[in-house]
Amino acid sequence: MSTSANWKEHLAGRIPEAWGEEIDHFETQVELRRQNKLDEIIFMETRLRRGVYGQRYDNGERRDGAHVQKLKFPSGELTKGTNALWDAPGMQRIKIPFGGLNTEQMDILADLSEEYSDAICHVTTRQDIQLHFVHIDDTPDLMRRLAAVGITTREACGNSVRNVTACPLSGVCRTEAFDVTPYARACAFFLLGHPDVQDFGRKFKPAFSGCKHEACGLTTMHDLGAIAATRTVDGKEERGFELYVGGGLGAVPHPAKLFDPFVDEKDLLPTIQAISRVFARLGEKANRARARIKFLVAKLGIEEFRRLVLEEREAIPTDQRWTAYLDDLDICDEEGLKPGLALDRDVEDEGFDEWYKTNVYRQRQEGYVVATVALPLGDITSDQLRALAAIARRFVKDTVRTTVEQNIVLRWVREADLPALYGELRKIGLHQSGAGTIVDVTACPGTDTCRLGIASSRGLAAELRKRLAAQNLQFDQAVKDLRIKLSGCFNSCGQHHIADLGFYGISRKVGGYTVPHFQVVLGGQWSENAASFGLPIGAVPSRRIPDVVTRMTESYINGRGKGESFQDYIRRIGKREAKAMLEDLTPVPPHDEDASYYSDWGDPREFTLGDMGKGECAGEVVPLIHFELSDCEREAFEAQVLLEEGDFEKSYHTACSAMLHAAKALVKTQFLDIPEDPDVIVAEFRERFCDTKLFWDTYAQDKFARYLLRAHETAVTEYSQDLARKTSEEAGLFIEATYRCFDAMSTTSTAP
Amino acid sequence: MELSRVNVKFFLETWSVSADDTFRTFNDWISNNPDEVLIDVADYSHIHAGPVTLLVGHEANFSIDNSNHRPGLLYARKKPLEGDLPARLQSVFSSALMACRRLEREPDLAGKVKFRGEEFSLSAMDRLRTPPTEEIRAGLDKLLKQLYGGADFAVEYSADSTARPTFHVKADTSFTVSDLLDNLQP
Repeated sequence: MSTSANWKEHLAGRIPEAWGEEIDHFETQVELRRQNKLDEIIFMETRLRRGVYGQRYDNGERRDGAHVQKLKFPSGELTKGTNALWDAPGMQRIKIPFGGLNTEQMDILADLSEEYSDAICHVTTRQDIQLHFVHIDDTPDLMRRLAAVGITTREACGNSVRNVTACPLSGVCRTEAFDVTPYARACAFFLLGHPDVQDFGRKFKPAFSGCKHEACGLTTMHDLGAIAATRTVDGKEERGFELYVGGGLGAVPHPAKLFDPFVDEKDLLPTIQAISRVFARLGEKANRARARIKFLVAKLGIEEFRRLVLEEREAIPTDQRWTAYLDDLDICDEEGLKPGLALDRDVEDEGFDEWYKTNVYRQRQEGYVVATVALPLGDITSDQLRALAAIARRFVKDTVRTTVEQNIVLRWVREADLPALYGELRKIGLHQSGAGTIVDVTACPGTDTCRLGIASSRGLAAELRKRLAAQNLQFDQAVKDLRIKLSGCFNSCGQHHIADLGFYGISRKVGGYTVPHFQVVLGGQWSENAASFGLPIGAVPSRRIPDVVTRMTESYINGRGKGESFQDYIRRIGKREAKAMLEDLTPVPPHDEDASYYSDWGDPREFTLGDMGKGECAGEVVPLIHFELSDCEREAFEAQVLLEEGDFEKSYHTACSAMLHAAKALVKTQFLDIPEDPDVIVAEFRERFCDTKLFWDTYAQDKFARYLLRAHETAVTEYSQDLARKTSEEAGLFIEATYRCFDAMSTTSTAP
Repeated sequence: MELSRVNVKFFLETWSVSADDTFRTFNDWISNNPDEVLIDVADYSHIHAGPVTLLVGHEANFSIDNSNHRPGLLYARKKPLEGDLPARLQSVFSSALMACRRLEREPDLAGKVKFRGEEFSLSAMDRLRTPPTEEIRAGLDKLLKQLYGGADFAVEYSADSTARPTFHVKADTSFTVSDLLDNLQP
């Protein structure tokens, strides 16, 4: 055990400096909000951008049918966002770029889930890890411990660039054009915290894929999709990407549009940056329902969108990071722990053959395979994760990847080691076969923890897994490759649109009761990067969904033509016939006849929609300058703390810095690429706001502006307590004046 | 150094309850629990050898836990405790045992739940602030004498690579949960 008083001290020197500062700032903001000195909306978007998310019941109420239980949290009515009480446990989303984890990171995730969560790590449909039931007070330390092993939660939620996903087979795939891992990694870290991605109206999800015809990165359903491509010019092979933009699922799915059939690797990052700038500038901000980039692309048309992006591309100042990473493309290269060796004997272990059939993929590198560890509903206990890390050290040289099917893959396993690996996985209960088959049901958190959840997607998924595995459907050639995906509501976090059999939660009123139902969506296409979306067929009570699955699979087995895919079968029989097949499954018996219809899978309470709340997925639209000014307020607060601690010099400079940053934020509303140089910031501020009298108070006139101008022009040599106090107070006044200036400008610009 | 994040697990001798029934029971506790803030119930019955049903609280979580294929009630303290180390241990055991007794006495679960009072495990979960093992052991010994009323007991200590000290305790004679709660009275 350590003798350090806290994690910040304990991990000193092990956290990247910039990340450490960000977390310190966040911790200060947590404290400011606790003292009610920071607006709850700004704090909410701030925490969302650190991956700290609300959970169901965080408004302090929990229902069982009509009965409402008030949860009496110790911090009372203090909130951490709209209707989210301070003490209510929340979810921490942890970004895992391209799903890549090393064993040290796995160990830390296991520790954190035990100490701060419920000892379960949940793998999401976008390769993130989520911890649930986390208290807000624990989040800064949790972030520090992640940062010490190279993981950041920054921009895991909120209106920002979310996790950059990539095909988990990248680098070992037999059909890829090339390994997209280093490109996905470069994209993730280039965009992380980038000034050009801070003012989006909604989230932005990028994905990378190594080949076009497999499912891979599901690029068609992403805001930005990049598929590896090569071309030969003058006898030399060049790498690039077929770039797509404007895809997305949600209530109304949009297939992404082809932006460019070949973006050279050197142009990838600047092109993505230009797309981000156009989205930030022209994307919808007021109407949340139409703020994703897919709506902007649809509104402008892809031709006009492309023209604007290319125009923007020309205007962006050059950044050496655009191409610097190309010198280190081998940074993500992996290799086997031992020389490759084929498995050339029969294995007696019970269940091994079945597991081998469904969970093992032969790599293009001879003698090596990828083994998929199937996680039920994406869940893994802390003990299992720690044990899996030990297995990874023993069999694969330290790294694993999470997948969008909520599993974990071990790559570079020597094929001859598979029996031993299977034996070790069996010891920890992670040896289930059926990965990537019909039994490997994917589900979003739904009503378990999500505020927006309508029906229990996880409860139903668990029931389907159990029933389908009991029928051994994972080995039935006709249906084993069908995908089942469930979402708790229409927002499609479970990706139901791209499943053969998709379901999303809805409800119906029957005899005065609310009854959980699922909308059935049939014939979506998982392969070819999620090439097409399914057809909504109709609503069926949640209790009868297992029967829907049985009926549709049996119908397909019996009625398909030779070589006919499930998608083609559904298209052929048509929506009307598919609906007719399910007609007798739709009636709901009266409550006193069968009460089971009136509760949900895995949750025997009487069903209600009363626990639903406003989702935080979309965050809140807060003008970028409000974030920046909130950060300046934090600096001004720190200046006061330093003053109290007697560090007058540091207090003075921190207060000056707060004013300078506030001025910069204001200038940025007119001059996006304002440089960091204080002389330039002050000169621009003077010209744009002082000379024009925009920064002007009716009574004080230019008094507040002079605080900054004087501080900038004065070379202080003696730091007295009085000077520090005065400057600290002036910083507070200057920031307030900046808010007023911006508000006055906004009022003027929006006046009819 | 302080002992705050700590897990105690009492093992089950009899358990023939479905995950749905446990969910219902824990759900009722949320409404009828004056002493602690209880918040939510999570169904983890799909997980192999792990939690089955989890009752999430503000100060502590309670779960029916099947880790290592040994079902029991796991009490996971999250919030700081008051007093010196023996007082903290006393508080943790008291809360855990009261939850065990409550489960045993639930009318809907009558005859389906029985705990083995003579065996439990205790793990210190805070990887930064946990007191030295010897200090915990000394506090635990003091408590065990009281808990087992002078009966012999064995303490097995293990610290895995995760630096999570765990004590596995087994008394020589059988104890019911009520016996232990009686013994804990000052």
